[in-house]
Amino acid sequence: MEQCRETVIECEGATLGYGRLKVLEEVDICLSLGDYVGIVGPNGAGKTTLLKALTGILSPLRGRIEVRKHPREDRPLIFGYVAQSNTLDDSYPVSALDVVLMGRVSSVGPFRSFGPADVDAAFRALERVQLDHRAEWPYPELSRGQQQRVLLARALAGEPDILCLDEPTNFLDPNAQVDFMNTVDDMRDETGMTVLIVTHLLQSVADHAQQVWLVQAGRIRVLSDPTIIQCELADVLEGRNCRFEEAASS
Amino acid sequence: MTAFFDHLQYAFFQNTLMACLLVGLVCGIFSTYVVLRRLVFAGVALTQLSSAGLGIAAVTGLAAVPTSLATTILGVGLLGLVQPGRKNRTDNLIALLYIGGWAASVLLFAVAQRGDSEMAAILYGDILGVLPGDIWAFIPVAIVVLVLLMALGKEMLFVSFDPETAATYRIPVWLYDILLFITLGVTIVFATKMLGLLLVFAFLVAPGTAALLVCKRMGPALTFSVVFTMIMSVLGLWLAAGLDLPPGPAVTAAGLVLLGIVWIAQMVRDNVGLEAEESVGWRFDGERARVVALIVALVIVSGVAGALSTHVAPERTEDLLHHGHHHEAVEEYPQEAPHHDAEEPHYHHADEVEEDLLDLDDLLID
Repeated sequence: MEQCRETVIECEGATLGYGRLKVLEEVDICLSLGDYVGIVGPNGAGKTTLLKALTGILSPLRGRIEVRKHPREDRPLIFGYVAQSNTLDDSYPVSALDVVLMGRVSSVGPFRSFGPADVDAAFRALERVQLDHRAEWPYPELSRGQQQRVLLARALAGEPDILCLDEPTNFLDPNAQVDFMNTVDDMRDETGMTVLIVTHLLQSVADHAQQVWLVQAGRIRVLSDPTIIQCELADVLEGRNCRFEEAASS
Repeated sequence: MTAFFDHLQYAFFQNTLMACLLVGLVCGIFSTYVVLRRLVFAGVALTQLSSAGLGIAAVTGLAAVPTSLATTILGVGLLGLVQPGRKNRTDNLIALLYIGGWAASVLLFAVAQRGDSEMAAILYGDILGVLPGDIWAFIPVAIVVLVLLMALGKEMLFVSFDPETAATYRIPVWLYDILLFITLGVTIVFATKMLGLLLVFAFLVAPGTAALLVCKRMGPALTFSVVFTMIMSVLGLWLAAGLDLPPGPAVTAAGLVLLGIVWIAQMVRDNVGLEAEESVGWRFDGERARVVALIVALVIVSGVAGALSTHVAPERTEDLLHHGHHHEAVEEYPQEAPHHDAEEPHYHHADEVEEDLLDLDDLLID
């Protein structure tokens, strides 16, 4: 297993899957505060399964996944999560602001309403993604790219320690993809949060990530040397252009 | 005065109206969630399990409401076992609960030798025979359900809209799902006892569908849905009184007509391009104004329809009034089912099913 400083999530001998279906085996990884990790691999390899296990949505079939407290503030870690916008139901009567405020639900707690501080945080998050002028717009009427930025704003509104992004740039045009990734980078630089991103944008991962978790054939290879990351991903890029194959298949 | 207002002088009609408005208030809130989460058939499956509980009570002699509540909660538990996101499995389970509940109801009432009469009573309800005790029993249920739904509204919305992300925020999605099903189940049990399966199902489907056609924020949608049930109830009872119609189906039909009006209004608005115009500068105030305008329009349409119904069949009023006196006596002494004279003016629906409904009342009161 890789050596981690200020470990916040640790997996040891974990087997991940659903019921009898084992998707990933012998998962030994750790995650520290401030890490920027790209999770790459072919479709169906188990990238999203890994992300769900790390965020606590999915329990391991075997082994151990430990999500520790914040190492400096002695409190539970706060997660932010951005899934693909096309997984959400467009018939809900919610505005962009309503969606972003959902990121404050757990901090407000049950039986209490959102206060001015929550609304301010939501507006600040919308400003970060340059959509504050669309706060009152119905979410279903926004473009797919704007919807994805709203979901990023929702994750940011909760002021997360760990930001998990599950193929967030699918269905975005190339310019929107670059804008989205730059916003994530800026936020990480400002706040020092951990970023875990599942993506097919291999070049973007090679440019930004400190670590790459290559998910393939039921196993995870951890690449942490920048030169090796560049070489490995270059091989993948030259061998077959995953990004455009994925776009074509979707 | 119109037949509707004439009838409001009588306790039985006041009880009917009060029951419709109370159930409509709670179901109006539920309806938006039920339609959004595609749980329409979960609602009808739970109502069917509720009637299966009444069947068990008929066979075993157990108290009706607790038994009905128990079978409904059992169904809620089974629905809760299905993992969120596995929609196909949920659909299958809901279908199995529905047909299972239906089969059990028919078989149990047959075993209890009360088959057709009780089934008819459950389906169409004893809407004119609502007792004050039924209403008083429903009020605390309504208060608890409304307080929970309003106080946990933001969590309910989050877990409904995006359960996967809600789970990453450590929000217990399964708990909120179970809470929604339990409150829905309890509401259905008490409401079905008063108004019957058909009308409760209508209250769970039509208002939410109409609200989601019109509203683009959750708050206005919930408000619209509740107001829709109120208008639907008053219009339906108005038509029933004026045209001598069975009130349960009349309220249901009124809801469908109003839903049709809302749907046409929405289509007209979309076709003349108002939607695109509003999208540019869409604000909550505009939304609120639109909702209020449509509610006012529905009230006017309802008022005109109600007035016309009274104008068309004023001679029916005396019949219904006569039946009203008759029914009040029934309410006071429910165990003494009155004998109908063939020559006696009567209320069409009650004349057909009243004796059966009284049997059910006896069962429920037990």
